[in-house]
Amino acid sequence: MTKIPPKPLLWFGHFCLSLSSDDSKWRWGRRSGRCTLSLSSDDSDSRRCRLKSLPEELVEEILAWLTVKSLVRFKCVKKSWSALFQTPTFIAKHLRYNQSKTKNHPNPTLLVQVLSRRSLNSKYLPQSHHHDEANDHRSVYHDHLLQYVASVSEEDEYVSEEEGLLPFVDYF
Amino acid sequence: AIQSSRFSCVGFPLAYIFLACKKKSMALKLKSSDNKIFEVEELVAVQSETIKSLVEDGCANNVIPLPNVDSKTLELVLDWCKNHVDVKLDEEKLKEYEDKFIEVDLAVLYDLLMAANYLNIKDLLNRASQKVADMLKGKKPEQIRETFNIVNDFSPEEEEEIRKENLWAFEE
Repeated sequence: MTKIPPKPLLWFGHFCLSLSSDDSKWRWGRRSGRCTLSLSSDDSDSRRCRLKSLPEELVEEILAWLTVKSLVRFKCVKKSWSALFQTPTFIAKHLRYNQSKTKNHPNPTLLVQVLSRRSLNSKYLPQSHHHDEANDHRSVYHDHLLQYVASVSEEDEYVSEEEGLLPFVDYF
Repeated sequence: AIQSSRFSCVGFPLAYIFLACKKKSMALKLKSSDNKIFEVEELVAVQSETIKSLVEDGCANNVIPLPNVDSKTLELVLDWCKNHVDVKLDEEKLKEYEDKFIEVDLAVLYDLLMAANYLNIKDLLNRASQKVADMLKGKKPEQIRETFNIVNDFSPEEEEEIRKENLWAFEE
């Protein structure tokens, strides 16, 4: 849980919902050491130029394989990316890909980030059921989110269920 | 009586030749962008949905031109297809093959992505985009913009706002 100072723009509760299938994400600090930062230094300019002409649809395919943390970080790359990450089709695809990626870790988790006017709370919720159909995710995650919103509301007087749920609904 | 026996003498080899020809027609000819001809079994080639629909529409009798795929890439793609024909193949071995197959530099990955997309080979597209995603995951938004040649359409204030809202994603 990270506390951030109050800002006028955050006066209304705001939800960011992303799906993650890696339940070891609690350990970002330690994990980040393994991240690959060497892409640009490894490759010659001509090679990098080729990725520049990759069609949008393929860029989307690549992005759907990224971790939640990377996606949230890449929200500020471009406006259309930020919008893309919130579309139901992308969310469903991202979940599907990440589930197939971690077949050996059958415990996908749900990342819920609650932003109130005085605090930023991030929490991973375990997903107890497996559904392969994209449509089924909605209810499962919605249930978890409702539970979480309820628990946050008890802790934080500034987050009411009404404030949080409306923007959340927009994400689906 | 002499005539009928003569007929059966000729008929037998004819039927044999006919069957042999039919068996041989299961091979398809693919032409790469640099005009190299690849003769492949239909079973291998139809893993490409694009080729499959050509075969189904009866358009695969002559050489199939693939103007978007060069011979180097087509060779790789066909190797992938050959190794994915036998569904009974040991899962462990297949994974080993895929991991080794995808250990290529970014330029080759780009070619594979484009070819898999054009030929519509879903599992290859997935594996290649997953590989690129692995290369991107630790990068900063600036590096991502550079990699994909993206112009930042956020104002500095807007970008700062998003970064502040998602500080956790920027932590090392």
